[in-house]
Amino acid sequence: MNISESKQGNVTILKAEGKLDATSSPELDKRLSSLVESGTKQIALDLAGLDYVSSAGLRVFLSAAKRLKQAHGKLALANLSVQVQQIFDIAGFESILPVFKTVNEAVESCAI
Amino acid sequence: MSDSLSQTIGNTLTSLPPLTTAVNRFLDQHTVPSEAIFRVNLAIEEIVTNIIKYGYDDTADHTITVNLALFPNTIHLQLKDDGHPFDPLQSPEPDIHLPLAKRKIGGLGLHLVRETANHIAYRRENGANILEMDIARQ
Repeated sequence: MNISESKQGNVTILKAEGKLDATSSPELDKRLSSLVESGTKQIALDLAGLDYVSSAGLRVFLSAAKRLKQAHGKLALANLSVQVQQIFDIAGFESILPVFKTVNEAVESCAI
Repeated sequence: MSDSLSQTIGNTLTSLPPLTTAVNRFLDQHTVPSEAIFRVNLAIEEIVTNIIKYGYDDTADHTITVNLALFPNTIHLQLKDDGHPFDPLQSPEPDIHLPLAKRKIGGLGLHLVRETANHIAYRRENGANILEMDIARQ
């Protein structure tokens, strides 16, 4: 998996590409937890290039959302592929994680 | 080109990437659509990680066998392990309607597999767990 980072105002955008599975998920988890630990409070995840997610990946999103909530921060997700969206639906993640069609919408929702 | 694939791996998480590579090569060779490849990958990853993490009562080396067979409309997946008896169909459904604060981290894997496979059957035979799954090919 590839992870790249950029900033838009106060919002950190992480772009995750490839497969988010049992093997690769610790890398994204580490990246997200170190961002939160270093004081980042607004994170948008751009998942346009993410073509696979398993429960190990869902676990990463869930723990990031919990950590950010504790830190009074915000997490937003954008650009889910049809298949990743299906997994979110089955897991009931739409009701607990804010998901947007575009990165700009995700960034705006975090910035408020 | 054979319409079936059989792979035997050791009970370590490092066995997963080469297994996935072999499975995906096989499915690609048979021009299986990406949606079906996703579902097969998901079923194998969730079940095999579950077996490796929770399936054994000792620290000895074990093997897990993964068999795939292609049919016109379905992909048949069979997973066999010699861990303690475990029927994934009997594991409790997670509550996917709880708010964020109450959501447990984990427990979703088997739920994803049950929801994405068309048919799942479990049996215990000669000291082995055998899980059979039919996954839509289209």
